[in-house]
Amino acid sequence: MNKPQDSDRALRHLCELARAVFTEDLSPREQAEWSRLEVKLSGQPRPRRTLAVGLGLAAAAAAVVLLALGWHQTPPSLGFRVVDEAGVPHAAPDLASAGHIDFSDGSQVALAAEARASVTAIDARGAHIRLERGRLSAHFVQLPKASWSLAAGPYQVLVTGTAFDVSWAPDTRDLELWLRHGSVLVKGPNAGQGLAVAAGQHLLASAASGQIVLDSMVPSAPPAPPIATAAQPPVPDLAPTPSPPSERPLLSPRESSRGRLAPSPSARAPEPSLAWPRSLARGDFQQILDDATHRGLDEVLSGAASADLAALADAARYRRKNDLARQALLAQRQRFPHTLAGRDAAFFLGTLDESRAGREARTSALEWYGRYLAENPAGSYAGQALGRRLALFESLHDRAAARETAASYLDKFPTGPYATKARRMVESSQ
Amino acid sequence: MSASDVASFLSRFLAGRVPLLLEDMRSETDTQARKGAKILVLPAADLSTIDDAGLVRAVLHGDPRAPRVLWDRHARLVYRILRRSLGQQNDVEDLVQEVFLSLWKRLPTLRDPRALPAFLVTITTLTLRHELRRRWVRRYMTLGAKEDIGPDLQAVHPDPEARQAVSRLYAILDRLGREERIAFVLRYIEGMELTEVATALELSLATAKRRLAHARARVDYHIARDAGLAAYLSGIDEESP
Repeated sequence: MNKPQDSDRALRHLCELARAVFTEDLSPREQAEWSRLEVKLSGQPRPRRTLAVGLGLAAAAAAVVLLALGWHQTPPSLGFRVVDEAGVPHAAPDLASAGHIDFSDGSQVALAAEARASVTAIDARGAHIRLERGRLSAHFVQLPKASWSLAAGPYQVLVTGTAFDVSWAPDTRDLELWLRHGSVLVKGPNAGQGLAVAAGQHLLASAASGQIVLDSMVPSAPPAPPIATAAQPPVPDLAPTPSPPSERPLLSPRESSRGRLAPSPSARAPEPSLAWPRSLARGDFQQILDDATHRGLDEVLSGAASADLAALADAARYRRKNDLARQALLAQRQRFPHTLAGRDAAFFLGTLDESRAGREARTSALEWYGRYLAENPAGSYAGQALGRRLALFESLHDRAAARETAASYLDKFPTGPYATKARRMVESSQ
Repeated sequence: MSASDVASFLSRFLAGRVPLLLEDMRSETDTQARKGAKILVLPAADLSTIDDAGLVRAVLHGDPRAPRVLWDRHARLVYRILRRSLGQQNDVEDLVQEVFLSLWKRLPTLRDPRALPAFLVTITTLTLRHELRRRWVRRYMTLGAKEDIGPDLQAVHPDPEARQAVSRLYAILDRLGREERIAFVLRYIEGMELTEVATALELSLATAKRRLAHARARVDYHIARDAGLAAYLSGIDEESP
């Protein structure tokens, strides 16, 4: 063990032993740790073990008492009846079409014309409904331990007391859901462990493409159809309602390029698209750069459509051609100053400046972020822009500006990623 | 909102193949604008197949599927480094949670999303430093009573002599400073390159080299003077373990 090679061999051997002993294999308990982290990430308080133990003991004691008293009655299953649009009970009790299903707990499901659904299971806590086609409007009474679910094609909507509209188109395999109250969990293709949809949100899921769009409900979303009551003939007003105007174009590049929405007056007459956004989508960054070079950069920067300029800037950024990205972003701002892409360009120009070294670059980045915030105080990148300004002021040793930015950040983004830094800065100045 | 706005949105969304959260869809000219509408587009791409850069963007843009995928992909790395640094196979769950919570807070500061694994290793080493310090303080406060952090190796290695040797190695690592210990583990047990160790510890390459050299010299010194280890090591073959 005195020679260096002996020492190397001994160390190598011990380290290999350590590697063999301390592996990355996860036990079932460790694999289940994700759920604990998920709770923390969602901001929910961690369940208190003491409370859980206390509740468990109380529940056990209650169970013993109830058993001792001979009380083991199971709650009765819910009942339901199906009524057609004329208010006549339907002959097939598990099927409804253009009618409604009344449940004994007060929950109701109203079906639009041409819709078809069935109750496939029912117990004391709720029912499982299968929507075969068309649209329905549901209102489920919020009772303790209520358990309602709805299936449409490959999707599952898990419900807790809530009200929503849902439609299923078997031909296009599209699920659409408008949530008015409560919350649901949608499971299905591409929805991972389930996608939580909250009140006021709208979800459009395509089983054919796997794409899911989750957005806010807008005034043009279908109004809540009237739920039939005993006093009113159950004729739900569920005529097909067109989707909100700006949803479909977002799903289809082809539709969006046709310009269903009015162009910005600041833009010139729309130039023919170079189809770069599609190349970008395919990841053909170099093809975009080559095409731009082939066409002539000056010509492209002065004549390309806004979407193509944005694609060029993105491709250049991804290829680390920062000078070209900067030129494209500057052209975007100059030629399309009032568009979203034009305003966002200020933020990206700031990030490009930050990637350069030197005080001058940092000062320039500060200015771009400031300009972005002035133009987009509630924009998508506002939090990041303000946070970066905070970091930049700090790196430039401008403590007064950093403190002011920190206070502003905390005011607007109290739980944002820069909140800790901002809080520390504000507290250090007090 | 103009068509160019929509196209711009699409190009960015499609380019990243990750969702984009567009908070402000308002336009001065579009009376049909959806004021304040928040749109989250989840593309068809299976997140488990996209690269780390795409995954980071997905997390930052609020894709609810992304955190789970990130966990599935990288939790093992964090577990492994923590176990090898602390010398214990079990009971590192709380530290793993701490690492990932910290990652979530710091993710927006990650400049190059492709560097996610290195970023995660850096956060893990920061967490390790705090944990080793906490353990040192606890040991100091209990007047040297050694904390039960010895590896529970019974189940993971069949050879009792090998288990004993690993226990002795970690007893030696207990004698190193926090920084030296982590540097040693990353370099010699994890097998990281010098530059990777320097990045993880947020040190210059020269400082990292000095620290490693010092750690290595101390480990060699103690190994040579550990009679039990010497006896064990004298019996190993060239190609073992």
